[in-house]
Amino acid sequence: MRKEAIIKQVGRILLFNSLFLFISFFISLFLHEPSAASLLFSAFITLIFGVFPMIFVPRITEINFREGMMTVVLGWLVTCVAGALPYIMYGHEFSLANAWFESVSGYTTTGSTILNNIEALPKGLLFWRSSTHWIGGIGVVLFTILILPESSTERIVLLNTEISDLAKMNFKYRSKKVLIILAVVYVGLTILETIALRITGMNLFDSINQSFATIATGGFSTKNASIAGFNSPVVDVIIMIFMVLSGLHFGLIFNTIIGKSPNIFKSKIVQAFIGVLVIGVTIASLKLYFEGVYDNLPDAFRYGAFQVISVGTTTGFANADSKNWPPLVQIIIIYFTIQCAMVGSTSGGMKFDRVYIFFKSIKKQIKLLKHPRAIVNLKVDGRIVSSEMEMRVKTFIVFYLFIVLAVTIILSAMNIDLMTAFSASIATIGNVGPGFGDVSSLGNFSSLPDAAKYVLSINMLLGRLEIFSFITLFALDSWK
Amino acid sequence: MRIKYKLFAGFLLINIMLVIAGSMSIYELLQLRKKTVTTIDANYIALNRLNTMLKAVESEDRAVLLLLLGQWEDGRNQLSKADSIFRATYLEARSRVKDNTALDNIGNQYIVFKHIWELPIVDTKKQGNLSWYNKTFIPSFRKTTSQIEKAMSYSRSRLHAESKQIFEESYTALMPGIVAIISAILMSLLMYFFISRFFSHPINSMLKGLKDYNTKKKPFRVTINTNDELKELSGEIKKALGE
Repeated sequence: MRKEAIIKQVGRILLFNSLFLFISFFISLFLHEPSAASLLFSAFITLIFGVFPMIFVPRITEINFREGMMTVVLGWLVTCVAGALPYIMYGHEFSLANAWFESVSGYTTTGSTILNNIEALPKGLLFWRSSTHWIGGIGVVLFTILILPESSTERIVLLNTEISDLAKMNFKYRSKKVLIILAVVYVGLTILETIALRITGMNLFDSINQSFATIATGGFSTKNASIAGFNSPVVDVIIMIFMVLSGLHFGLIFNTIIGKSPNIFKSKIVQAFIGVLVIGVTIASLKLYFEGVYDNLPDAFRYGAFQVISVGTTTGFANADSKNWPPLVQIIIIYFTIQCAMVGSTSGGMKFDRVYIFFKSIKKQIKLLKHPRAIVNLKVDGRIVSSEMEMRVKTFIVFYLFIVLAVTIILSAMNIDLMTAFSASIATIGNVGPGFGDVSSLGNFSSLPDAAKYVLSINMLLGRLEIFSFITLFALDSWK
Repeated sequence: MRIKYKLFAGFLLINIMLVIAGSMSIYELLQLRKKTVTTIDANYIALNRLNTMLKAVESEDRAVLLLLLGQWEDGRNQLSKADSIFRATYLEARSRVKDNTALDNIGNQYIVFKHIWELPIVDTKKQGNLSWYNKTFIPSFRKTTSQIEKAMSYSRSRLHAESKQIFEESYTALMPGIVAIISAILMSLLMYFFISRFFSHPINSMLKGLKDYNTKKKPFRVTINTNDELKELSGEIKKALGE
């Protein structure tokens, strides 16, 4: 394995990050904030580390799959370290563990925070916090691939490593087109949401930050009370619409715009995803109304729908505190925390497509029990899912749930109550953000011990990198 | 890029980072020093002045007792001296302290207090009248001292809060240095890796190639990818060997 090839790619990723650090610095500088110095120094450090390999490493036009895999995983890790720099240097609520946690939570689009007073943070740092979501949402590596030469095989290898096999199923295009689709949909949705939020009267800074967090399915808000801080039903509805869109496969959204098939209206998997969300929203909202949590049905639907969609798309915004909601509603939210949104979107975690294939696989097994000699194919949106893919999905789900259990046990060993431990585990591996107990939708992770924050950070990275790619980093043979 | 430029650029980047980190740390430390001096100075002066005011008011109490005993001259002299000390200190404190609320309260209460002892005491009904002293004078005296003590307590808590803030800010001054040290170590390691990979390794390959050519008559098949003098050298060797 050529280490210099990996170092060069990671350098490019750092250069991209430094751009956003400089923008955040200029915001702080313009507003005469105390965070300007920490942002400037972080931007320079990141820039210098990015430029360093460019000087020494000659042009590399080809990288192999293993090098690509290492680039992706190391790229994420190094990016998270760079992302923590402004927090570490700013201090205040950011201890070393807190800064690392906030950075990982930002890039992995988890949206869990350790901040008790978000509104006290300088605007430059708030923008940087949202930028980590936006950079991480589409994948730190994908952004970098966009600046690679078109003919380069690095581009194809890195793209294949960053996007899961499942996600590729709905991209019937060459790598260059896939990149353009991702970028166009991502940037387009961000601009649209910013405009929509501005129309409601939200200021430009908040609009951009909420849009970054929504489209990346992140969840970092600029308000202590998250979206509840805006107290506007119109804002809630706009964010709900964009949360759902961001939870869908970007390839399908692009096809819908250009009038090609498969699109979001024809895709069975999208119909199933939306269907499950509608059922979840309806049951949760009705339960909230009949249990008397909200006096009227519109309010019950406003808060119930927002919370379910927010968790179901792994965004993690909140317009109410679901900590004291009825157990049935909490279970619905827990289910959506585990299920997550669709592959090919900006969400992390298990992904709905895997759950869909898993249930289809059960149906297939039942058919095979009835007719052992029959040839039963598992199809998703008219395409046959190979047995290998089916097996990979099942292995992934089992491994995913095993990690959830293991992390819950580790957190419980740190004297964290079971509900907090379990919900923090599923919320971080699913890159959702809030859980229940001490880490509820309007709470934060500051009270957890530092060791728990490091464990949960690894959990977030596992969820974002879909477990197996992350593990390859620690498989020593892959370095040979 | 030529080797000397590559090495120069590498060292330049490390130096730029260290200079920025050093400048930031120096700037933050200077700010911190300024703030520490200002905080200590301001709070020390405030506490000192408040203490002087308290002593002046206590002196006025003793002077009133002298007046009650009929010692007009001693009492009036002491009162006049204490009052001028109080007023001078009060005015000086007002000119130095930005937040005047506590001082306003002291000033207002002092006016009320002064009004009580300013009126004649000797050769009036008040002389020797302990009841007037206990019921009229002492409550006002206590209110005045209490206002001064409140201000002193506020000053102490502000000193504590500002010290805490300075402690937190020292973290900001310290961090660029720590980050720069870690970054410099990492960059040095990277530099070592690059020098070994792109300078030492090609030289060793060419050396081995030449040795093999001379001893074993093997053809010189060394490929150098770095776009610098080493690539040129390899090309020239190939030309010299007629390959």
